[in-house]
Amino acid sequence: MSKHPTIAEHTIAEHLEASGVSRRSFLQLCGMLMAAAPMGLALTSKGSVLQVADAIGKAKRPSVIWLHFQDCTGCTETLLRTSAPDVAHLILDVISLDYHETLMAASGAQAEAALSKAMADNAGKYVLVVEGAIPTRDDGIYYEMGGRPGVQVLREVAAQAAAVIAIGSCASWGGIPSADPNPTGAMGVNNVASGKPIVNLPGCPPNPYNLLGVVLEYVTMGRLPEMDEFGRPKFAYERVIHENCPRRAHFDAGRFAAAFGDEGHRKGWCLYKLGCKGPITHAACSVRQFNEIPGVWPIGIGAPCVGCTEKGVVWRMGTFETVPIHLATPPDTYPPIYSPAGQIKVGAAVLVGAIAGAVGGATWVASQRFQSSAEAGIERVIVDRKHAEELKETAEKQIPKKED
Amino acid sequence: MSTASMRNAPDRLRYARWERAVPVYGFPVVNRFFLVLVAMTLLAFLLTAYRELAGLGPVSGMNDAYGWGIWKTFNVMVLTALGSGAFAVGIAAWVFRRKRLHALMRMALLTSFLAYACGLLLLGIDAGRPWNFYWIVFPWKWNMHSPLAEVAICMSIYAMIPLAVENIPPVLERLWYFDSRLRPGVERFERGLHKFFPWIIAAAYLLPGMHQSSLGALMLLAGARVHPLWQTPWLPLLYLGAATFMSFGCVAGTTMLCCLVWKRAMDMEVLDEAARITAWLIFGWLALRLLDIVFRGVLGTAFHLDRFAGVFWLEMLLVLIGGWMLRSSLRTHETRTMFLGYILSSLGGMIYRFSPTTLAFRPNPESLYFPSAIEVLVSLGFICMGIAGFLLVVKRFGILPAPLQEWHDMASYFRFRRPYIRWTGYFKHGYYGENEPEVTDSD
Repeated sequence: MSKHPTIAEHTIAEHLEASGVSRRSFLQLCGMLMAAAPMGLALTSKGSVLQVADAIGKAKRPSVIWLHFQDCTGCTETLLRTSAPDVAHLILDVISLDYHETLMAASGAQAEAALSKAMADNAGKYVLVVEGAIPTRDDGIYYEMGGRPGVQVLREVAAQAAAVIAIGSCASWGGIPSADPNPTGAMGVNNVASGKPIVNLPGCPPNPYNLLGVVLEYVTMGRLPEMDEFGRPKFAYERVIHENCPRRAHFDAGRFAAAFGDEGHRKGWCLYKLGCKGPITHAACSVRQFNEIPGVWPIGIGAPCVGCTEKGVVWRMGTFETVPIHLATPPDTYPPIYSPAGQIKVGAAVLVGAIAGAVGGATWVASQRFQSSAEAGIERVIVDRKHAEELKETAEKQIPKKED
Repeated sequence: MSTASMRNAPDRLRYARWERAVPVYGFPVVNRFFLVLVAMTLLAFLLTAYRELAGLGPVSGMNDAYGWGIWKTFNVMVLTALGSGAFAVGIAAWVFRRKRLHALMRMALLTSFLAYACGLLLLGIDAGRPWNFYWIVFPWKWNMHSPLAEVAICMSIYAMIPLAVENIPPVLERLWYFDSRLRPGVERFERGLHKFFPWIIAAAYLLPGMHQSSLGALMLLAGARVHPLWQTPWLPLLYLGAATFMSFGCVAGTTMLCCLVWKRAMDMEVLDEAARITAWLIFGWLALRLLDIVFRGVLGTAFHLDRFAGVFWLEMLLVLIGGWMLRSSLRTHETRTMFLGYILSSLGGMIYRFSPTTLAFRPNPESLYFPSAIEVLVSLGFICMGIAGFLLVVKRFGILPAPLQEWHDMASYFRFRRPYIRWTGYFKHGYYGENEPEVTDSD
């Protein structure tokens, strides 16, 4: 830690160059960031990866202080467990992670000193990332850091932070520790710290690109992304999983897995009837893959969504309880997606019968007249020929008169 | 014609020869029947406008299981088979040198053109999302992976180029007689046309061979949804074969009906030739159909007591009886038997072409398709439009075959009985067209 400059004096580009990170790897990261946050971030709303890389490269490395509370370290794990180890290193090179209890070598008094130094060096400029729920009952004695209640430490660190990011469902609104009966009085950051902009990134765990997007948006553009009423950035949490679910077509067509392992489940049909909370869960899991591997997410592997980003859903609703559907069928202005089997209407049937009868009758009448048709034709030839000859004679008599 | 009177008739009357195409004269174009046809057509146009505004849902009886209504399955699948005369009669006349059939060629070309034109127009109305229709003018936007696109492109090109060009000669003929000042131009145009004609005719035989079999291939894609009695890898060939004998029936039957209605002499040699060919086409097609069913081992399903077996036997018997009647008419010289033979075999063929799309198409047991009244009226209206067009054209252009004497009779008719009719234009410059005017109307 001591070699590592705690003051973010280098730009990201300079630091990457000094660390020996190739330009190619950096561009790949920028590309993945663009794919992860295709809209809603000013940072990624650019024409090309090069422009994004330029914007990020010019920014100073953000100093990040990462505090743990009542958590399983899953959010840290998701940051580290990228499918390619380089990506995790790259992320840690782009941001300056100055204090992180899981990752740093220091412990005890050294760790305490590191926290103080990081806070002092970048006071008012660092980004505080909080992982885990904060116990508040009995003055927060159920979680202590350096002999002090965790809630007190959080208030101190947050007071000097530029912004607070609550990563994971626990930090966002309490998560598992806050499940009934909630013996420790666990709460989310927004119930404890105040006076600072707080971004909630719920999820169990959330996609690490959400964190990266928020942090980089802040350091490059100087502002936090647009957020919804629960403090969740809209670029990642505006839409429900159901809207872009790869199994959506099965939902629309009425093909549901009824039990785990049944035919529908094996065929990859919709998991709604198994209690999938996708229709009410705001998250981008269905389009943003975890660990850069397609299909690696609950619904992708055949497990119903539990609704981990929604305070009122996970740990509140039954696992197999089905959720109400806002729009069970598409609006009437669209063509129906399913129309029942047709029917025979009396009017149409009568019409078809009448046409068939008329055509059949006319054919029959015509065929009866064919009995003498050839004769009729020949007779007509005779009559017309006679008539024509008569007429011609008459005409020949008349024409000379005209000339006179 | 009864056999006895035929035998007693003098030779020159017994064998009326169709020598040239003569317009139907002496009958007004606009009569009560024509007005009914026009009214049905206008009604169809109104309903078409309603369909474009309301969408297919409220207008048609189509549903998820049956995405193709009668506009496709009847007006295109069935009626273009009836309208394959330009292909089938043309190949028989030109390629297999059945030279007598040349007398029927203009009828074949006209009926084909009308059947294809009306079918394609209706297909355009059937297309969903009409507001996207303008994309059709950008060929690079076409979905070339769609088998339906092959059929649509092939049909449109066939109707718009070879079939339309083949129908030009009657128009040129009319212009030639209309005004002597037009003659050099018409003759020059005709000389130019003759250079292209071999290519046009080659295309006119290639393209229908492609799309009439592709229509069968479309149903091949439907897989097990089509009942096994119809679903076979030979479906394209069977569809093409049905089109050949149906179109013979359409051309010869229509010509006979026209002769009956407008009291024209019938050239029994030509009609016998057509009936003989049609009968062999029918028997060959039936043999192929039966052999296919037997060798695929699905003959048993034809003896189940269900609607599929019923439809199967209905169409097979209609075609068989029709073919048998055509053969017997060759012996007895009964025009009625011949006419009914054409009607029955064509009806059987129509059911066959219709079955794989609707009657024998079963996506799931509870699905059903029955056309709505509007669908039926629009379908009927477009057929009426074709018939009205036919009536108009045969009374204005030389389409129907007749003995040469008929041409002279027409000359007399317009010259002496209806001298005030100028607009027919045929005899403005002489009785027979070949000569410059003998008599001027200057006074």
